[in-house]
Amino acid sequence: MRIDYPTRDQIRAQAYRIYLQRGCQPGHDMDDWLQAEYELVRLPLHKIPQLHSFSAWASLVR
Amino acid sequence: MAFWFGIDGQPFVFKPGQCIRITLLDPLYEDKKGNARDFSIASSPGEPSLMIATRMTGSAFKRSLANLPLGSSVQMNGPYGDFFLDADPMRPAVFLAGGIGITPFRSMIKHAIKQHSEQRLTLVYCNRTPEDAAFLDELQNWERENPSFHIIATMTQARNSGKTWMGRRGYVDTQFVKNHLRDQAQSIYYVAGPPRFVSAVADVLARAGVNKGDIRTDEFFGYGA
Repeated sequence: MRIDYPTRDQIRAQAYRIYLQRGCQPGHDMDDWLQAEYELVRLPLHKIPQLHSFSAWASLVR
Repeated sequence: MAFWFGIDGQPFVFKPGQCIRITLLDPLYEDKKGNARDFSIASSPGEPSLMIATRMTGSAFKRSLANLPLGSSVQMNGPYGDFFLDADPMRPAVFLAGGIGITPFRSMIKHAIKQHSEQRLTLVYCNRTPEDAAFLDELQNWERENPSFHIIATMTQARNSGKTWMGRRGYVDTQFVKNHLRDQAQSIYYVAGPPRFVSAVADVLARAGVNKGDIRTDEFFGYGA
């Protein structure tokens, strides 16, 4: 199956990383999401299937 | 949320796209970031009041701002910044806004319309859902009334919206730039929004063949405020 774009769950994981990097300041969920989408979209296509989903990534950092 | 500040009839000269620093004189809430923040001006020159628009993050500054009684005074410094329209009206302008990065473009577009400018303006407005898109209805009305202004609003998560969205869905990528943003060789591109959105879209433009010298960027003020 060809995946052209990151899944919603992959974007969620990236948005959460950005939130952590910003020092967990609340209120910027829309900005974090938008940034996560565009960070992932600019990745080479072959990298996208390798991204962790939110649940997989959360279990790794626990 | 939008906030309007009267300027008591005093002249306040600024170029659309510039920003101001607002200092709260007697804030209800305080934190270590202090009582001042920078905001892009969302209104256009010549209006009797000055408008800013911001996401309400729950920070001490924004809670204090939201709780200011009507008629309160604030200190305003500025204008600052060099993110404004190129002086050559023959060169079409393409604005790419991410989220609340729309504010400097609202000012530029409204000013151009008031001036009856014939400069071709295209706004690409990127959001998750229509509910997230500030000023969307107003911008769509301006497009209907002004043949020089065209808006392409694009939603990445429209299926999660409570509203029906008949417009474009998806990201701004190199194919989109090649397919939809004509006059690439002549246009000047302006990108505003949260920092990683701005760098990603500037990168997309460059990969689509836009000369880097024709790309202006502005990471919006207030991110992290």
